[in-house]
Amino acid sequence: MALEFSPEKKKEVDWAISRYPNKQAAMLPVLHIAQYQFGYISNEVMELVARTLELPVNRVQDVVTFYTMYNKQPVGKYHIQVCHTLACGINGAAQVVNYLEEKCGVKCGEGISKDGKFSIVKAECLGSCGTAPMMQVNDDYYEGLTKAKIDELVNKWKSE
Amino acid sequence: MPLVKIDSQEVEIGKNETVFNAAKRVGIDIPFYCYHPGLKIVASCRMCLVDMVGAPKLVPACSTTVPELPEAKKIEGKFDAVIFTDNEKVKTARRAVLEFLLLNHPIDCPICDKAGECKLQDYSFEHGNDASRFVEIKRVPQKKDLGPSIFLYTSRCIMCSRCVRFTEEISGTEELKVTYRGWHAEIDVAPEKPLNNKMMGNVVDLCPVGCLIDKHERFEGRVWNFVHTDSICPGCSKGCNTTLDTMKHQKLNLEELVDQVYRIRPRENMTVNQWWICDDGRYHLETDKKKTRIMVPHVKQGSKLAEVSWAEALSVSLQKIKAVSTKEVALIGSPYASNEENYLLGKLARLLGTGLDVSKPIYGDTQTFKTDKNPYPFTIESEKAPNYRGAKTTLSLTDSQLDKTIADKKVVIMLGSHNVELKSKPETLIVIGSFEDAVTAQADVLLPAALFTETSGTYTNKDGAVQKFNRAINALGESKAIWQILVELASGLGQSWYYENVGDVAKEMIENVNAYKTLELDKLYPQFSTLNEQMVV
Ligand code: SF4
Ligand code: SF4
Ligand code: FES
Repeated sequence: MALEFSPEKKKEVDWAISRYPNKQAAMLPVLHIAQYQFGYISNEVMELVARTLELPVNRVQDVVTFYTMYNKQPVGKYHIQVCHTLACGINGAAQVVNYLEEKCGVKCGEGISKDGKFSIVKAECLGSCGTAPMMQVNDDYYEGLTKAKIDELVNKWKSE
Repeated sequence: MPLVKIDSQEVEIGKNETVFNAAKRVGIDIPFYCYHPGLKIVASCRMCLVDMVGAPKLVPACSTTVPELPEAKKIEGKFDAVIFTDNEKVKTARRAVLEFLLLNHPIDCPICDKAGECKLQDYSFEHGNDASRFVEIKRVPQKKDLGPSIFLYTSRCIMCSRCVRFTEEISGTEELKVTYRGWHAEIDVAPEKPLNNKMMGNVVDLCPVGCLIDKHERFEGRVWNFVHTDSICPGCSKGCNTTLDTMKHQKLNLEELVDQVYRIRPRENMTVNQWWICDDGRYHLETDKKKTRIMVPHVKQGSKLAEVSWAEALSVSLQKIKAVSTKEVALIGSPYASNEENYLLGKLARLLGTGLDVSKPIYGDTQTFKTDKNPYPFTIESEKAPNYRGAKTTLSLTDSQLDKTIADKKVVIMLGSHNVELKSKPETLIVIGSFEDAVTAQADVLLPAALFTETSGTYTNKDGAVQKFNRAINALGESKAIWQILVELASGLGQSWYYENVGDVAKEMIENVNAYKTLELDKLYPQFSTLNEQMVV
């Protein structure tokens, strides 16, 4: 069956569309709304968005593949994006990634951990250089990372 | 109008005219990739950068227009812009653009079908560096199958996006898109939505490099061996202008050289087909290959058609015609034959006082490609013959009434054979045709006729444009041009006609057919060259 937006997301979609002069212009916000509902942008989701915005599905794919912030693959409940641009890189982003891989039981960029909770990717500058190293988990920033801090966070999420 | 100086030339430039266009008008060629006159301007390739005095950096010629300056601000007292297309700054920029394009480009030229007509080759030679500074490992994406007739050699792409814009703006089918970005950008189709429409062949012509390759033509020939001939597509009554690329083709183990049409390409004609042709026309000869060509004259002996010599076939035909009164003979023209050929047939019929008619063309699907971005919708006509209007005009007929015309006739001579339905078979049926079909199977005499690639003539399209097609290759087997066959028949019937070539026939036709009085012979049949001229009647 073709996917649909939930009634509440539908409202958000309509609101997003109403803010622009034409439907096509609402592509980015609508894709974000879709990502919140479905977790990642599958082909079916692209078709849904295309239908909603009255565009050929190709135009949607075009945009989705252009931006790295749309997940093209399923992600874990906690999608961890570790900044690895200069400031974080100097301050140990590589060690952060290694330690996270070890703790969460999933390799960076290789899908979801067995318990379905974690996925890890490297991200380009997230604009929080002053508190490097840092990571973004779903919508939240965790900054000034240390081993202890990561232990605390991951253990909390694991026990949930 | 703004006045600009381009290099050393003064040019008046239109209000919305681009620098690129103005330069072209005065013979200055600016290199380009993403620009195409039929597509929207995106100015993404940066190959056309030029130096405009006063601009903070180089500007793309393909998208830059020049506004008129107030009198006091004019440069050198009179110019609205001063542009250099060939100074050191521009040359350095071109070298840099080409260096970028070549970073990941494979050195495929020896096996690439585009080699010889590739813009990347040409510009690298003209504007590029002689050696690469890139020592890293190249990215090598694999070739992709985009659909029934096209491959994408991904690594050769220079991301000009012409192909994508074609499917968006011209065909409106939107199959192609750019996926990912930067270093990883690739042209692609959506899963399970292959590039498959009746205009798709055009993207291969559009691609400035050898990235999009036609499966029908891949590895079949090298472009520098081709001879180009202006032609007209016989696929439907639209009459698209085409170029036939032909090649002498050496058959394995045979000494003999066979002429072969290797590909059919669109030829620009703004009033008829703009820059495009449909795939029916492009692969016309592929379809022909599936039919059986009539190579030699045949005469019915007993119940079977037997191969005979031209002399015998003609004498049998003449015997049959002479055996009945001329009232019992009918000559049938064809919407697949040229104006000249139909004209001669009509002339013969009137001289002898026989019946005269034209057969109906085949009708098929019509399809229109149109989008709101394209001012020239492209329609593939349902009338699948190039010259129905022309045949009717030259024969002064308003419509085909074949059954009525041949009802009481004993001998019927038909031009062309395209599965015309005959209600009753006349006593003697003489067919001058190229391919075997239901009609030729019933024929008593079969005279092999040359195809449109093997003879010259004119077609009149549905809008009345008389357009010339030219002989590109030798007639196959023993086939002859229809007009020559008609001349031989006429001389056997006591008419002494003399035409040196089909141009002579055209000259007489223009004098005698009222509708064609305004045609200018030397434009249609210039003595030494072929022009693309077309005239509307
Ligand atoms: S495939 Fe050819 S036409 Fe299409 S973007 Fe690449 S180079 Fe341009
Ligand atoms: S539209 Fe008609 S004339 Fe033009 S290429 Fe197609 S078949 Fe030939
Ligand atoms: S031709 Fe002008 S930028 Fe591509």
